[in-house]
Amino acid sequence: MNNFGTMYVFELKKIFKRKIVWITLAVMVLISIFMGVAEILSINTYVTEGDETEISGYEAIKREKENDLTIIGKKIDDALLSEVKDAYKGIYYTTYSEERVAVTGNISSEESVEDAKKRIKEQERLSKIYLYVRRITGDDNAIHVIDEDGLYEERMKNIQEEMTAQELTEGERAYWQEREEAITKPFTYGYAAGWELVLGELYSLNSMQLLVIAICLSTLFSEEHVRKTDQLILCSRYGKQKLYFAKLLAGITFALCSAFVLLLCSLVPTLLIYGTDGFDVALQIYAPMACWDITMGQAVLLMLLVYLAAAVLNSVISMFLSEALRNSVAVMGLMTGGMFLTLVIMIPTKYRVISQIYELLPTTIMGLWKFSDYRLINIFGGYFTNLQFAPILYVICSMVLIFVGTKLYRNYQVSGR
Amino acid sequence: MELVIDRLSKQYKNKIAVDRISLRLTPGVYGLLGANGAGKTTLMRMICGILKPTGGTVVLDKADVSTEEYRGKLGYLPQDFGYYPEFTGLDFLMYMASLKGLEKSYAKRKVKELMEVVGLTEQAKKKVKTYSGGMKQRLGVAQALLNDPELLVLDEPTAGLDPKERVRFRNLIGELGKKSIVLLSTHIVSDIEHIADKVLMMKDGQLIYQGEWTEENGDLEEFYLQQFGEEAGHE
Repeated sequence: MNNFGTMYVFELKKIFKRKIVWITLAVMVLISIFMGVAEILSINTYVTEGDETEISGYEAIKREKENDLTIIGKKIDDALLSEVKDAYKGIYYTTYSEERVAVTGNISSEESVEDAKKRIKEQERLSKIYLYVRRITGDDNAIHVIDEDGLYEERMKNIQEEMTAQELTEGERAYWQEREEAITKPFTYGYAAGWELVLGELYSLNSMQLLVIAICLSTLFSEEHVRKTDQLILCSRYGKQKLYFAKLLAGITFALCSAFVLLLCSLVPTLLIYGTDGFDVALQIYAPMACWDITMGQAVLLMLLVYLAAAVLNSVISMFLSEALRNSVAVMGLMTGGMFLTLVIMIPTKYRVISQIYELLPTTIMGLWKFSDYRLINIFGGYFTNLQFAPILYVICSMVLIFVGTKLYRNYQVSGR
Repeated sequence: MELVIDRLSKQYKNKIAVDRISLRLTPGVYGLLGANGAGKTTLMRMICGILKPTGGTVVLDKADVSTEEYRGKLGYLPQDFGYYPEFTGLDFLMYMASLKGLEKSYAKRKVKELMEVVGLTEQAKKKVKTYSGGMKQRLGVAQALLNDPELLVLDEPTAGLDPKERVRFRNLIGELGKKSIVLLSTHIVSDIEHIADKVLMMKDGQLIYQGEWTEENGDLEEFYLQQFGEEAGHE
């Protein structure tokens, strides 16, 4: 085993001795840090009665958190909805778009400046609930007419429609019905902006870790053939078996560590800015159509598991291709090309099987909205969601590739030079 | 200690590179001569287990060529091989020592000893990419000797060595041949004359001569030229 450790260290050394590895890591680390601090670098404009105030991104975050503090722990029920209704009284919008315009206001001409400022402040304070209602109903003006029952019915209606679009079986519907019943309603509002951003960042980080792995590990096996060192290692005592696993372990270690470093570079600034609050907030506050009875913290942990499992699979794919193609440029081209392809291609849910398999790819699996993918995988009578099944699938795929790779590696013939 | 090669063959689509070669080698130095394309490198690769034969077997003391046990007794210096340019000479040998299964503290001592043998002690901590061709070749020889091989296969080992290094290398091989089976291929007939106990001559994948070469046999170079004629003239 001592020799295995030495081989493993030397394989890591081979990876880290390449300049391109350090350059790639440095660029990706900078991007990750930037993702974490991007919000505080922005300038926000707040409109108060009659004048516009420019505040820094950090001030805006603080202000948002202060507003949220007044509603944290409140149930999204009739009482809270009526508070929002009062605050938005007379405010109607023409369209549900980014550039919506308030077209009607029944502000009394006798309303004092003080009262108007107070009303606008109240709107700002409750804006998250207003936006939450708008998100569920898809209607800018729904707040004026909706009550608690209406809001939750609308949510269920949307969920049912999506389940039909995703062609769910009766068994799957029954599964979600059971999960839905376990969710406490009305929902309790909570502030988890930091964790919501982490979930968003994981989507980008997932692509970034793939790029790092494709660039840095594509030479791990191909280099031996290109440099003609294969004939030395393959005729050595441990070159055909132990070395293969030492190389794999070094590659997987590198993939996991680089994925973790990128995660930390983005997660630490995000949580320093937004705080770690809201780990126990219900997932439905940030993903209203999700039927999972889990918290934001649990959602982040699950996504993290998928992210790390994807890093393992990506590294194994990269090393497998490196041995199979014996050409690092081809490996990088295939992996990055595949990633960009999955960024632009969408498979409609009506092609249920293909679409679901496609959504299981390491490049398409991430995103907060994935918690609203109701399609399940039935294994021996037990149901798994895509997010639950993905880490298991990635490990299985990695093992299959490792097994096939072993055959390729051991049976390689040094000829024709 | 015996290396038994039995009807070893390698056939590519329309060419027989090695044609049913059978040999029994015991400790000593064997010089393998042959023109380009005679099948020397193919034969050596099959003996080293990095090229699968179409037929036949290679066994060293009952250990088949495909086994870890066989590879544990083998030292191989290929004709054209590479290094890890960012590794130092020391790193490279320590890495190869780990692949050969040498225990770390023993490997350190052995590497130091071999660095001295091949005259690279002063360059041990320099990156391999700064080494000259001859230094790289000497480093290659050192890695082949790391595990005190019972079977040492050297493909064109004197290529790139200057005359002084060549003489030193010949002496080293002579010493090794006392207790190990050393099979070396070369184009340089004088190398064979000076080092080899026995001569193996290959032509078109077949062994056309095997045995000791004594003065009674005449001049080896002349015999070689007779056998290979035009082919050898171009070497």
